Amino acid sequence: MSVPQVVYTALRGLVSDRCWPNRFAQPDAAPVWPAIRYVVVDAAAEAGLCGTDSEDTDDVRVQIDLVASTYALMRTLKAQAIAALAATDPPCSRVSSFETYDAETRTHRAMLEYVFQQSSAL
Amino acid sequence: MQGLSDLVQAFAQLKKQASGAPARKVTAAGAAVVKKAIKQRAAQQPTLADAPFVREGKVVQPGAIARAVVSKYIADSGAASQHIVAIASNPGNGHIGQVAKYLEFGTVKMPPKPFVRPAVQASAGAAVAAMQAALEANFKGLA
Repeated sequence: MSVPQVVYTALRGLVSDRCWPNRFAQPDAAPVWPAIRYVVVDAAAEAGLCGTDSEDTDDVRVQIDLVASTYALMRTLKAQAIAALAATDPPCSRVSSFETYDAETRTHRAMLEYVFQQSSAL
Repeated sequence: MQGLSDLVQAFAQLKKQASGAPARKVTAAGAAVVKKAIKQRAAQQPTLADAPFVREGKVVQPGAIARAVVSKYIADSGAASQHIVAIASNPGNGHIGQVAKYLEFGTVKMPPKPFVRPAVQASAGAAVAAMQAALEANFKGLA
């Protein structure tokens, strides 16, 4: 399973499948929160015995945005997401996070950044 | 050199010689590599390269973010030397830092288009190599 698929599988159940890659795929006029967006920030190819042909050995950095209508809901979703990502295969580690208020949509967002170091499984 | 006290004195002397200008050259070398990588990525971003970026009344012209990437020496950091690479942001340049943050991390409506993080990741090895070369060049011959 690719890293984006691992992230989707781990998190989709927290938001009734409102979990999308790259953008929130729902109408701007009538968004439904909470929802999750995940973006691959960087994938560093690690040269294994067979070179760098396989993405399965890339070290992948993923940004995960959790959006909710209230601060309390966002914090709850954040804790649930962290728990859900604690036991992925391949394993990942959380490297940074921040929380912010989005004035345009009047929502609360938590950004989590994870690194999946698949190269260390070689 | 004979004995532990001579060794301790030699290390103390080395530490004194190593701080200041030689150490600054080492971190400056690493920072220069990272700064160049971020500038290149900022210039290649379609959002930044093709047309002015407008959000919340802030207009940023193509190339402006790349030009605003700077490296600065941090005095009194507690380390032998410390440089940072940042996007210089002030009222004069339209608070470019805020725009860069929107691009790097996105907003709820705007997907992130990271350029700093990939640049740092891609240039980390080269930055360490540059620092190593500067270390060898500037610390050669120290006791």
